[in-house]
Amino acid sequence: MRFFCKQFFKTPMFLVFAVMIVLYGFSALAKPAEINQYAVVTALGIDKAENSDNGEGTSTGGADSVAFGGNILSDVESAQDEQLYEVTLLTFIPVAQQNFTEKYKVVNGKGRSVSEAIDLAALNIGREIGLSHLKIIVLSHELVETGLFKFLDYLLRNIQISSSTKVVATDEPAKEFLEAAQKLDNESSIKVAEHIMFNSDYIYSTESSLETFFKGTFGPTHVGLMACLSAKGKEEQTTPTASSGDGGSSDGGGQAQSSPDEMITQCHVYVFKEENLVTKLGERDMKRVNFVIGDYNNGSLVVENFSDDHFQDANLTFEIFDKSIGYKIVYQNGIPVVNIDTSLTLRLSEVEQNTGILQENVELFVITPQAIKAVEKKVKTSMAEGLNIMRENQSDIADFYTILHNDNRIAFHNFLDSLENPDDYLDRIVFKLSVRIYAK
Amino acid sequence: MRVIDRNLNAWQTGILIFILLFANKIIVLPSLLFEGAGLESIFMLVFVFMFEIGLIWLFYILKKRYPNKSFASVLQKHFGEGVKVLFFAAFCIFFLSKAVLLYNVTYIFFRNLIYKDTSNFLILFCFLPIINHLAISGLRALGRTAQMFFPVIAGILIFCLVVGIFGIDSRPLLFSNSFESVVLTGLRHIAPFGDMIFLFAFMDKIEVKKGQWKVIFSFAGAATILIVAVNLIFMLSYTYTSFMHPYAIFEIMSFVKEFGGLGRIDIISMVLIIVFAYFHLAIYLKTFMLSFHQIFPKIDNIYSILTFDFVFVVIVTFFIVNLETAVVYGEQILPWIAIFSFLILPVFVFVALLSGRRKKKTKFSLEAAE
Repeated sequence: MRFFCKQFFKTPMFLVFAVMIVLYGFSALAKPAEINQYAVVTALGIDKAENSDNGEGTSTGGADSVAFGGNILSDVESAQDEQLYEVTLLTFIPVAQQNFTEKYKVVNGKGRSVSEAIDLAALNIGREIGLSHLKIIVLSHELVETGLFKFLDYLLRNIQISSSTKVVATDEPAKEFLEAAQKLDNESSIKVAEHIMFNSDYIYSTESSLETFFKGTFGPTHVGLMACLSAKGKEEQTTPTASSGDGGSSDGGGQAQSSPDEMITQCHVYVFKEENLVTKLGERDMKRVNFVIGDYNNGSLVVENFSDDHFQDANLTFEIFDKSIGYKIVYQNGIPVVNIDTSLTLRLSEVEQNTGILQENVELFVITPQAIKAVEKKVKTSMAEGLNIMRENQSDIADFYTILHNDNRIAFHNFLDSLENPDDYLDRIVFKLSVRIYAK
Repeated sequence: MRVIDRNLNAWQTGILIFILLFANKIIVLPSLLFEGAGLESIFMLVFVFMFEIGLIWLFYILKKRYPNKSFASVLQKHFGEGVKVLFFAAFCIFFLSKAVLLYNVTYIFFRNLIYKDTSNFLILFCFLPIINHLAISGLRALGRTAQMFFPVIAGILIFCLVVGIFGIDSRPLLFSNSFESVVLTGLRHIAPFGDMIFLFAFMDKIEVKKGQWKVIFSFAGAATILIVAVNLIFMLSYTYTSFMHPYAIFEIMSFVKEFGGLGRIDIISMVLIIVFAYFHLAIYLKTFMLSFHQIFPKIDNIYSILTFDFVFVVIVTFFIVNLETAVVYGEQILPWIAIFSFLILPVFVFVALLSGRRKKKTKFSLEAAE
């Protein structure tokens, strides 16, 4: 014992350790567990709140949902003319249980800024809001269309929010979208963030994370893209006569405000330039633009009314297996000529004959030269349409600015100087398209 | 308390150089460099590193000329006691200032990303006793500990770089910044450089056998390449959003955290930051101790540690407690101390080397005349 004490006092690190235990060990025991202090937010929705319902508490989503209206704070009530935000949080509140089930709640709060609204939402559940595990941010179309950049600052500054967090717009209130998303997650484990990640791989969509959006916005072209999702029920989107009970997926527990056969669908892609909404691109338009950008890994293309030795007026669908895209630039009389060289590896995946007869699979190993030509023509047409979309909206989605600048800085800036309005550079660039098709 | 500093061999010196070269260069610096001069700031980084390696080269020449002498005795011999004291006082200020910058960046990093309720006091409590212990244990203990941790450091670094490469997803605008802005950015952010002058303080404690200098230069070269790689990968990963990502080595890992479903692998880079912070602060403190001893040779070593701890705690507690202040401190105040490492010290060393050669020549010519 004496030896031990001697050694203890001779070794300074033991003393440090002892002091640490005394100072922090006991105080840590007295604190509540962190698991009881935080609410882990996995999805955040932002809506434009109406000033008129400031005096009323809102109730959303039944038993699993709690709300914090603007009726508590008098300063929020008095802000009749100010823009109010309603923040909805899909929170995972950790509860120590024997079985491992994740319990989510939808919480919301209104405030004059996003941070104030989040604070008020936190007051409602009596826990600190943790945004480190945030996977998706949902913005209502109302906000996106009237002034997205007014409230994006919070997302830009918050160090807790990862840059790979997905950000999407929705054509309905973000609150409703998140409630539907929560229900889908509970019933079928369809997670919206994963949905976005999967979609971005396809030619019909785009990557939509905070990082890609801000990279585009702060880049030289100032063009940012944001995907739009919808979680409307099938009957709302397709036929009004469709019954909601046919799929047998409804339980709802008497709390869901939304349709029982809801699905998450992509509506369109918003294009912003210099903080203004420029246009909305549908799936087809996005496909045309993506043919120019080359930012996809999967997809298919359809050649309509194709005839050759094997087919008569058939619709051929090709699956895209691989693609490569290259840009070669030459200057003619000071004007840049951009050769977009695209190579696609395709496989014929579906033939729709006008006769309606199922035929032998004659094209098992090769795609005929006629078919290849038809595909080339189709891709070129799509690319030309994609370029037209960019030109019409003066939005350099493909970032030709950087491509031309990096290729020949002096020639490109001389070209820009020669323009009356340098922002019109897309209109003055000559594009030449070449497409090569390979069969898988 | 008497600290016995046994000599460092070439491998240990090389590893200490390797570790110290990373100080203040892989967390906040890449973001600031890109903000100031875009991708071209990499050229400035390489250019300043040439000066840093130049300091090691200068040390090599001085060590060859005076193999067993301390830097203090060289200064005393050529410039007198006053200059020697002034020099070592400058060493003390230099390394204390660097420690303050490094600690602040590390503290703010941990506060923002791991535990936002953490107090400065708690982090100080985690760092100070251990760095004090490392410094008190002597140079050999420091060198051997570094030697032991080196495989971990190198392994994590290479892992971070490999993972970071998967996150490169940008097409940056090349050569869009003027030469002037590149140079000014380099000068504004020169504060993290110049640490290699620690070798001069350790001069008589470093024992390099014949042919082992290449080990030292190899470690320095490897560190330079890795630091430039971290900066480049960060800039190519984030480009226009670099300003949103102030913690480079962590960010290059966090961007690909979804990759392969590995989960949050960015935690691995935190281990690296912790290990680096301990070693950097320990080397700064050790250099401070040795310099302090040259100014006050008769007083006990414990006073140098207490002085460092006291001044350090006062500065970090009352003056610099957030990232904004730390950046202002690093961009506006600290660059001036680079004058000492990159100008004053090399000039004096050159003069010492030249005057030594002239005296030798005079001696030979007198002998020849006799």
